[in-house]
Amino acid sequence: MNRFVPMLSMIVTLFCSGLAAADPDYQPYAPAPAAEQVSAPLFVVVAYSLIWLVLLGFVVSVWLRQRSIGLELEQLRRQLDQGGQ
Amino acid sequence: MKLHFFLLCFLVACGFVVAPYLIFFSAPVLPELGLIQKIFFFHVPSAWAMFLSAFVCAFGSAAFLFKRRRWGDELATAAAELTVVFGVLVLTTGPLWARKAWGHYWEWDVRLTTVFILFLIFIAVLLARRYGGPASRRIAAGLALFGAADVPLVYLSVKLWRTIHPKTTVVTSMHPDMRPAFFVSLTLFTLLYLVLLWIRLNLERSRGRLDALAVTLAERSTLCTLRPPAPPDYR
Repeated sequence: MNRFVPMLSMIVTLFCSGLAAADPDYQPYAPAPAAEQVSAPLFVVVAYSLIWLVLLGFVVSVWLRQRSIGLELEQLRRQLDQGGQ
Repeated sequence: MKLHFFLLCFLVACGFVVAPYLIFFSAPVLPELGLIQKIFFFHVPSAWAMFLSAFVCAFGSAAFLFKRRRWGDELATAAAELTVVFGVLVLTTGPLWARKAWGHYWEWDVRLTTVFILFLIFIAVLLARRYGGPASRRIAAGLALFGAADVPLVYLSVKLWRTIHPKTTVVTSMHPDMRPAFFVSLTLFTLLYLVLLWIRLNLERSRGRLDALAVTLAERSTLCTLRPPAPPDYR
């Protein structure tokens, strides 16, 4: 029971902070005037490029970390085979 | 097991060919939404993958915290990192759409703010895991459970409060010709999430093996140094 009380209090805190954030006088923004409009094709290209870059970056980072761990594993195994010295 | 992984990779590769084709050539460009609406087809699936990852992380954390399962810790670490990765996608594609639709990159709207909080909590999970000291795993697991509790709040925020973010009904009320592109994209991101989780989990397992091997080596070295001295030779 003890472990559920902190969880419950966290959920209630999150919910209450959301309630407090909701301003009853809030007015949604109107779309920007035509002069401020930006190029939609450019933004679509940027968004899709970002998705590719972030995913590629993550895969490369995992691959590099995996390679470094593989090298360390190999080194430790060699040390173990040599008698742990 | 390897066959399943390659099959999954093949499906993801196919998805990355089919989904853009459906999004750009099959789904219509509605005049009231314009071309910028194409971002929606990757933004919503990214958010779905982020929420899924937060729940997977919470599941692993609960298994580690309450049942002391080692795989739970590995799963939670891998999923926490993926929550941040998909969070970056959500928080970059969303503002690009918003700039065109609302005229502003960012608004401190309830939906946007709760997603940002979720993203920060999972960054905190990774930082706690990395720099938390001896209790880092338990601290990170507790934080991950706290973060997952934010997911229902993010989902319900557009229903509970007045917000400028599109409602969740945007999916059910979607133009019928947009549905194939959307659901293929959603499936693609789910499969992509599984592939990334798989490779990240492998990394965590390798790290576990490395730690175990390092401990074995250290124990052997200690045993060697603690070996009783050889009896004196009195000949």
